[in-house]
Amino acid sequence: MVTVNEIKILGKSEKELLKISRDYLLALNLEEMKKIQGYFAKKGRNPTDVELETIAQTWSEHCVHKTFKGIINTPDGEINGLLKTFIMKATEELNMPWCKVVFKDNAGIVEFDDNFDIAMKVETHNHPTALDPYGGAGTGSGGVFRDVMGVGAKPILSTDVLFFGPLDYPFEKLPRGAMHPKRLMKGSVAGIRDYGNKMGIPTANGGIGFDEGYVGNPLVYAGCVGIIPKNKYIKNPRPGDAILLVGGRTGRDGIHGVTFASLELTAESEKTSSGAVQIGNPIVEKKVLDGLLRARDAHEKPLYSAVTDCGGGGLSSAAGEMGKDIGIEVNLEKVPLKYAGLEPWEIWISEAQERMLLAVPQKNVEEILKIFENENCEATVIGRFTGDKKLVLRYKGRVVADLDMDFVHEGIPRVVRKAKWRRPKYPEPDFPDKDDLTEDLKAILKSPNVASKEWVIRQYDHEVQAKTVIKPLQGIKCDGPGDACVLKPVADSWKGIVVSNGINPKYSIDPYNMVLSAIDEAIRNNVCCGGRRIAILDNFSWGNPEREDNLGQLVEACKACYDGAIAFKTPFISGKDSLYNEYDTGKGEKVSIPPTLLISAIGIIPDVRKAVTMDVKEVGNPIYIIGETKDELGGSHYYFIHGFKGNRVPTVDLKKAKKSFDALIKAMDKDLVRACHDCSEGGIGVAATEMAFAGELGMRIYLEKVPTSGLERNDKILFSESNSRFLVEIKRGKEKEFEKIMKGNVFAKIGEVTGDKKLVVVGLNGKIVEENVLELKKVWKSTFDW
Amino acid sequence: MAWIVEVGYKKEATDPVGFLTKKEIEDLGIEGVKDVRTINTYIIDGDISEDDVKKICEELLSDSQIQHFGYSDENVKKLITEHGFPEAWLVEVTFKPGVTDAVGLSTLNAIEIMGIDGVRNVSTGEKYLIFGDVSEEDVEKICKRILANELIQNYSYRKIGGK
Amino acid sequence: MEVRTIVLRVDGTNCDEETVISFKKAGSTVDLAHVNELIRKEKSLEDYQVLCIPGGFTYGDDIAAGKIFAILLKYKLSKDIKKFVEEGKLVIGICNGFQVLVKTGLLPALEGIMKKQEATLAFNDCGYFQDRWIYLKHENKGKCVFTKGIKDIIHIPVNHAEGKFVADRDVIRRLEKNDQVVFKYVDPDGNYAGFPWTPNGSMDNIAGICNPEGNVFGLMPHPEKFIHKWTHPYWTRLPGSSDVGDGFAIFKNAVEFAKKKL
Repeated sequence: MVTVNEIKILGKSEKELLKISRDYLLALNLEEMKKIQGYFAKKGRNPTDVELETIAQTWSEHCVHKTFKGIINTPDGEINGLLKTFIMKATEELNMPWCKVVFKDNAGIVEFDDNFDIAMKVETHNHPTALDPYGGAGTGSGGVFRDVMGVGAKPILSTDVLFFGPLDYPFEKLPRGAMHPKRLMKGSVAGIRDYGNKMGIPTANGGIGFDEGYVGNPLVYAGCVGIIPKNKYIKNPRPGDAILLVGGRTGRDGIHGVTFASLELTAESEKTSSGAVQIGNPIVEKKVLDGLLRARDAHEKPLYSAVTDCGGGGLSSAAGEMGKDIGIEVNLEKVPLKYAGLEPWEIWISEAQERMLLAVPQKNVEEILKIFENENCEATVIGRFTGDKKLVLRYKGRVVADLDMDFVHEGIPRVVRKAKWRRPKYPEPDFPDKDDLTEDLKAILKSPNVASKEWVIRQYDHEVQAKTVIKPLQGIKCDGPGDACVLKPVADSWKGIVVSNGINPKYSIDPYNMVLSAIDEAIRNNVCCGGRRIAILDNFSWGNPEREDNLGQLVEACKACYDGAIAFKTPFISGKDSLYNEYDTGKGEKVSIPPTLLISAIGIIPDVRKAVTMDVKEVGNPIYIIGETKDELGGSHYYFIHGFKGNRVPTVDLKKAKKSFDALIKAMDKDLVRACHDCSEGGIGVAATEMAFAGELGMRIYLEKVPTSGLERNDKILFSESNSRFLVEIKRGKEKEFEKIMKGNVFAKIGEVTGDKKLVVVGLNGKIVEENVLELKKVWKSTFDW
Repeated sequence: MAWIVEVGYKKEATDPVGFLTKKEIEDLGIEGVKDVRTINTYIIDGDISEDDVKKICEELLSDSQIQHFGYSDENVKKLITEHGFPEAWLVEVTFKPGVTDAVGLSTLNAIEIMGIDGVRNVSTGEKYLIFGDVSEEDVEKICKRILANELIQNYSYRKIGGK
Repeated sequence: MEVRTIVLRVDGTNCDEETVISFKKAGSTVDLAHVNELIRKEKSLEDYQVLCIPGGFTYGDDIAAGKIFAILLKYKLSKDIKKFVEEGKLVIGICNGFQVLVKTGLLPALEGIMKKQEATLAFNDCGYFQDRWIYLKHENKGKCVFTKGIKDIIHIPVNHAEGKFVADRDVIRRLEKNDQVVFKYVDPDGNYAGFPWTPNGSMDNIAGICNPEGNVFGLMPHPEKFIHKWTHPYWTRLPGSSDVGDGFAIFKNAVEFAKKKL
């Protein structure tokens, strides 16, 4: 028997209101509950469960980004919305003409060429992955693909960045209810693999890192790039248009996913949140995609007037969002169900996967239904756009919700939060430099964050669609770690898309510089392959923002977002935040994850035939370094293997960085650069090693030639992780031309490619590293030799 | 009525999932496992003749090049004997009610394509035969840490002898 | 003469776009059609000389790779397909398409067209999906229409989880005798070798076979992923190498044959 309950909130005390919020898993705070109480008091009635759930979904952190839009009081004054003050502001000020759709749709859209635009979106799926790594990570991919499909684009690239606890973490120490990091990793990789491979979207870019801070709360960032013909983007539903639901059926899966995302993980999460698990079926989504693209391209104009993804919050968010300016009417009994017995509110907020909503002018309904039928893809008209700015839901004729769109979408009170953070001080390392650093180099190469991820990469189909022209594994044996991937998306054009990422939570001891480092890393990885005209995306994974120190760190991070974007002239085009990433140890202690920001960068390259890879190519070619090496080993891998954090994390010289990046691109366009690799974790030492073993040639470098800020220790020069640095192999005989282009930037010739397959590093007083590159490769590959 | 169909690999065929599972068990520090074999289970629910079930098994559910099929525990027992063990732990993992069973839905679709009517539902599960000297406590650990996610799956295990 | 190719897709096909591009580049007119369009008779195989079943995960590879698509073809289109093959027209199955051809009995078809399944493509021995570039040695002495005059060793990628060729010893002997073995996996020096050069554990390193007449051909690796130089995994090391990828010859051969003979 299907029921609709009235929930009695009129006349309830504050305490009772909070109890209702808790009992129904609404994740609404007192102020919000009171606002709702006031709204219904005016209406003179209590809300139905459907209505209350609708508001809770729409007002969830996941859907409206309360924290990023709220008012924040800091010791330095009030911030009127982090998003507006920093992130979107950078985009507005840069005002790039090639930015087409930013911060207002499912994905950001930038121009590709005269005929096509590119869409990109990156999402987090941390909480679902913690509970069910295979399903959680897989549907993370599925969700972000739909985001890109939700602007009418065809997904052409999947990118994934994952963080887990240490792989050798003892079972006994795991928080209650938490899965072991190794199981989480294997499950996540399998989920991403099966979703991407089966849908035929290449996973050609990404990363995996490990840190004790993620033991109870893994991170899964799923990103997607799509391509769309120029005149095909449309978001213009009109009164009278039909609401068409396509794809998977609706079940109880994923109920309360978004409100659950605003609650912390506890040992009980496993028991109370089984509904939050989402079960994916990539083939259903593939059929949605096949139908959608045909509906888009059947005629000059798409057969639909708008399309959107059914993601967090389910139909409630998708239909609500699409109809917020005009109003909608939905008959819930029309929604195809997986099984009988769902209550109307469950149908409305279910986060069952692989569903999308289309607005379709009545005259096109028949044709579009035929298209989806041919794809064996279920498509059902469930309602229409009205024009009265109301949200009306019926179940078998009975009105179960009747709300004003304005209240649902604009009624939420702004949160006011306090931010205050003071930098912690960690002990500075005091161990001496050594005469031979070969073993230290090997220890870093073996460390899971740096070690080869070939075991993972080969499970991902990174070449389906045949667009991947620079692949994640590079070099003569196809096993060197690429900095970025390059796609050639259009068969008869040489133009390419360059995609890369930057992230390093080990620098979170200083969130401002951590974020600048992530921006610098994402952009310099892009530049390594020849990328330019770069747009970036932000993805925050943070602890509970209601804690002052967490929010203080977030403020620092957002300031850096603005400064970095402006300095590099790289607008943010889309972003996402996952807050409340903390877990209960089971002993009443709450642990936040390290503040983590992923920056994804998407650039273009005018001619993919000019793209550069990281493997050294030819004996006798000179090796140059670009950028200055400083005493910046705080959070470095070198300190990490010695058990230290340190304090001075890498900074970015905002004035110099972009200038040198631009010069390097110029040299690439002149065909002077044979190989290019960025210096990140493990610094010059790791970069040189990787370049050498990817090309299976030797390399000899001289540390005394490296431009430094007065560094006198070999270990610091070799392993400092200062930003904005590249190692480049230049064509022999082209040194002068290269040096002329680089003039005015910090750079130096520091060595050459040799024929003896040996990596030799000559320190300030003689050799400090000497080892066969194949041996170094073996060490680097040994960690994930699964 | 419901037919319980079990499809397993022939002895000479490799069973990669079984092999990887064995490796994972060893990773947990559990010793004594000699071999792990996997068996796909299909529960076919409906009014359907034995001939039709046989046809479904032969043409759709099993690959005669590498697999054999049987009903209920029949195939499991055969596998145990084939591998030269007197008995094994049989672990069974199934989806909890309400969890979408994609393979089950595809199978139902394929049966319809074959023109066989009367099948109401197909649900799938995975069985694992663990050979060797393993304690019940360890089997429990294997289920919890490797084979099943209790949030979406049920598991059970028992000792079972050969034919 | 115009050559018409039909690239047949179904739920979960996903290499259709690059396969269409490859056939077009080889000079064919190409129709990308959902199998429903053939079943509903909106399109007819009679209008084409080349049928291609491209890669993908049809029906999610549920039960086994290519299995349900094979059942669909067997139950809904076997008459049309048999006629197509009997007329000597060309059929190629790539990756998932190869799995489908084997599971419908279109390959190796020792006992006749679609009579029974005589071989299979089992799960990779390593237990995982594998994306890697491999070397194929052309072993065919002239029967296979698709590979005439192709280089001795070609370099293209595999992207699959179920590609281990398995058959009775006797079947494999007959394949060798009939000149139905087309490609075998080898190492860079051209020697038969195990993992990773044979990425899946295939019996006798078999990567691709044809039917007794040579007009039906299937292979696990993806020739359509390498039709121009810039999808090669280390083209940046190969200045001055040919702009044409090793996989292109297969499409070119098919279209040229159809142009002359069909």
